[in-house]
Amino acid sequence: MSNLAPRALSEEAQEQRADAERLRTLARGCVTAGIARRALLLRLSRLPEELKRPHHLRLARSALDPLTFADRARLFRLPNEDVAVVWRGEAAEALRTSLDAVLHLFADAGERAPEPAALLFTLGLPEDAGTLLQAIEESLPIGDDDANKATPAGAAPTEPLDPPALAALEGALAQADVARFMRRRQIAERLPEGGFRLLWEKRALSVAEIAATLTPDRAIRADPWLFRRLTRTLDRRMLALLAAPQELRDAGPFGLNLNVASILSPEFLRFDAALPTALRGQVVIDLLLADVMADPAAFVFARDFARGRGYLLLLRGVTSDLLDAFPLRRIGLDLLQLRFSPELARVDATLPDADHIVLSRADTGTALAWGRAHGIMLYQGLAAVPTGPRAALAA
Amino acid sequence: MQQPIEAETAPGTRAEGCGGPERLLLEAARRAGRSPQGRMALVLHLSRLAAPGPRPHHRRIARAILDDTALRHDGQVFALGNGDMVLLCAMAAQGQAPAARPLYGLALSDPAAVSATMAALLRVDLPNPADVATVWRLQESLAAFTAYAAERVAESGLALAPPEPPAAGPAEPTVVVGAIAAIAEGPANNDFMQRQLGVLVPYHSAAAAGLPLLPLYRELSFSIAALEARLAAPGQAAADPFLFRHLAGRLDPRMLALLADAAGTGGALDIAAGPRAAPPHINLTLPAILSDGFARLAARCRRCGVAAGIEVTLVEACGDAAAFARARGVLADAGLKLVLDGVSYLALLLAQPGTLRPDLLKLNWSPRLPDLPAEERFELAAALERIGPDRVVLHHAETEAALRWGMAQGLRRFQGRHVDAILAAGRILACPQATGCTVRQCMDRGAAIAPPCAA
Repeated sequence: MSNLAPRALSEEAQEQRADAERLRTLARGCVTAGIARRALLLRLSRLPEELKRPHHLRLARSALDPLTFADRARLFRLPNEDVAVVWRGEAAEALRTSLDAVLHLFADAGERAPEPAALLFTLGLPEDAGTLLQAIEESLPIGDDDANKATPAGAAPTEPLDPPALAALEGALAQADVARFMRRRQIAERLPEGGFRLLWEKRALSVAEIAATLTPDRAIRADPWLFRRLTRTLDRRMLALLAAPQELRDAGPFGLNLNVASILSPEFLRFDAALPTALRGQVVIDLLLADVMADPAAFVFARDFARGRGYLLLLRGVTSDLLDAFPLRRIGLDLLQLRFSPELARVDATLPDADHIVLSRADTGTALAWGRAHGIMLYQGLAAVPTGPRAALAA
Repeated sequence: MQQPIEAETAPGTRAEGCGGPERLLLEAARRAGRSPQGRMALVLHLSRLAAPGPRPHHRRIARAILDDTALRHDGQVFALGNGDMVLLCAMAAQGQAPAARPLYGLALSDPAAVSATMAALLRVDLPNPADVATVWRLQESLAAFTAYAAERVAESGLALAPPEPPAAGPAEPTVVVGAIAAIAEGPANNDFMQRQLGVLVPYHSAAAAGLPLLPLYRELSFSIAALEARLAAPGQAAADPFLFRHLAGRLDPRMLALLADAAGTGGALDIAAGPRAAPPHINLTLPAILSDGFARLAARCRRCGVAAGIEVTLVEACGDAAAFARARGVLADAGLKLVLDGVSYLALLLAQPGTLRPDLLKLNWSPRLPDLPAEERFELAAALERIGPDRVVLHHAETEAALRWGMAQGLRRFQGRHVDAILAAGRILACPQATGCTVRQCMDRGAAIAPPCAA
């Protein structure tokens, strides 16, 4: 029966729980008293197991050291190994140094590392207190008041998704309220005079958070093909969300990840019918290369249909190795997304259609410099923060 | 698209009343005959789409466009049992102002333009635009339209019998794929193994004349059809390309284990046992090629001097370019050939898979190939020329037309049921014990792999 005996929390774990309480109190205090603070939330719990060894966590926390010298700075370690730093006033240089240091840590992890936008959150209090409080809630083990039910904090799911689990998850997704998992990323255009202006906002459901909520014991990306199948269900939920009355009333240009089959689905037709006239020609649909090649006949049909309805189409999933094999013009799409990586940085050749390329994961000055050197105008990432007014998309 | 989209209705279902859509259409044609001025009928011939069309998305999008047009032009849409859809509506008035909102090329402001829109969308499946739709101005062509409606009613006569109770729908694809994987992972899974030869047609030879085909390789694989048959789920495993890739990944460890078990037995799965002129080809996923099991297979190939070909699908290569590059390196180091499998003619028109540097590329035969529009025909010929005809196998060559088309393109490498039939016919002619054997029986025996360790 020893496995049922309540386990005494280690000193470290107790301190993390205390930190979570302190951070909660601070965030609430900012809201009730209208106190302005800045915060950086580092969601280390989202790292895959192989990038979450003690030395990774230690180095990641150390990367935040520059910020701890900011005015009134306090660092909080949460029970799931997420870390938050809260400070007062501007600390742009320290923030940039910390961000660069964290990103550098995982630069070689490639696909294994979550996107920076899912790992790092720069927040302003009190307006972003909800995000911080949500992270605190998620950091606490389920059934925290019952030691028998407690799960080890930060334990990553290791069981891969299989067809029965996928079917169950698809069923659960059909019923779940996924609106709170909607996330946005900005795609910005580099201006000739310097700086960036917003072109469109990419809207996507946070798969990691949905999975952690609905199927916390499964590693849903472990089988890439079952994961791709799951994205079709997510597409349908996303399209249903966007087709809701008033959802797009005040929206500007935006983008969506969709599967080919999703463009040809009843949900897309409903979404298309609900799309305000002003947004016609202002929506970018991102298609994944493997999905395009899985059913080329359906792709050609969907491509021509979507373009006929005024959507711009972007191809993602193309790496430097595949650039020659999948020329944008031949495949008949408008934009190509390239993800910045150490491998891409080694590409020295001229990029075809550079003015139609979106450089994603442009999180560092190095990425921006590489993009500039190759004539790229469109960027997504922490280093491409738009400051100018929003522009309309040219259909 | 202004109307909410109704739940999908398959062709032949009676969603539009007990009289069936054909009878309703005939009634509507007769009513329209009383006042045909300014009205038109458009028949969208989805029934002409070759299998696997019309696919659900063809029907869904066509229905949405027709419904939208009907809404704007006082119209009605009929989805007929043969798959055709009919739009009966008012014609666009002369000099009519464009629709209030931008339509981006769908040209729905003029119902007659729907045929051009649909022809553009369906050009892959129905290359001749004239086959896509028929438009009748009722004032002049009422009789032709009424005759069309009457023909559909006559055709659907059998369907007017009391509807059969709905059959149980196909099982969930996730369930089928999971069950197939479980069977393949279980005992006696070599019962589901099969082989098929890829051949070279020598110069100055005519396959149809029975001249010898030279074996190039023998592909060893799980018979998905046999696995589906065990579950009475024909066509289900590959219905979803993503689930099929998952299934392939589940089958690979079993394939590698079976090949390892067969080593030294001299059986059909012993990679060292077959004729040197026809080394084995094995279709694998990237994780399998990068696994320890594959390293053992590659070492055995090297020891035995077997230049095996490892087939990787184009979709698999697109799914993980980094793993594909690593796998290509592994194969090159092991002296094995990289074969790019599952390349459709559309993929050759959309992309340049030859730049992925395969030793051999397997182009899937499609009955549409001989009838491609001129521009696509030239583009495809140029693509094959860039790759090099000697590096291309025409796969799924199931008919004589496939061989004829391939040879006209300068291709000499083929794999498929028609090749199997020619080889079987040759074997029967040469076999003293073949009395009473049919070509089909000989083909099946040629594809079968006996259990290597049967007691």
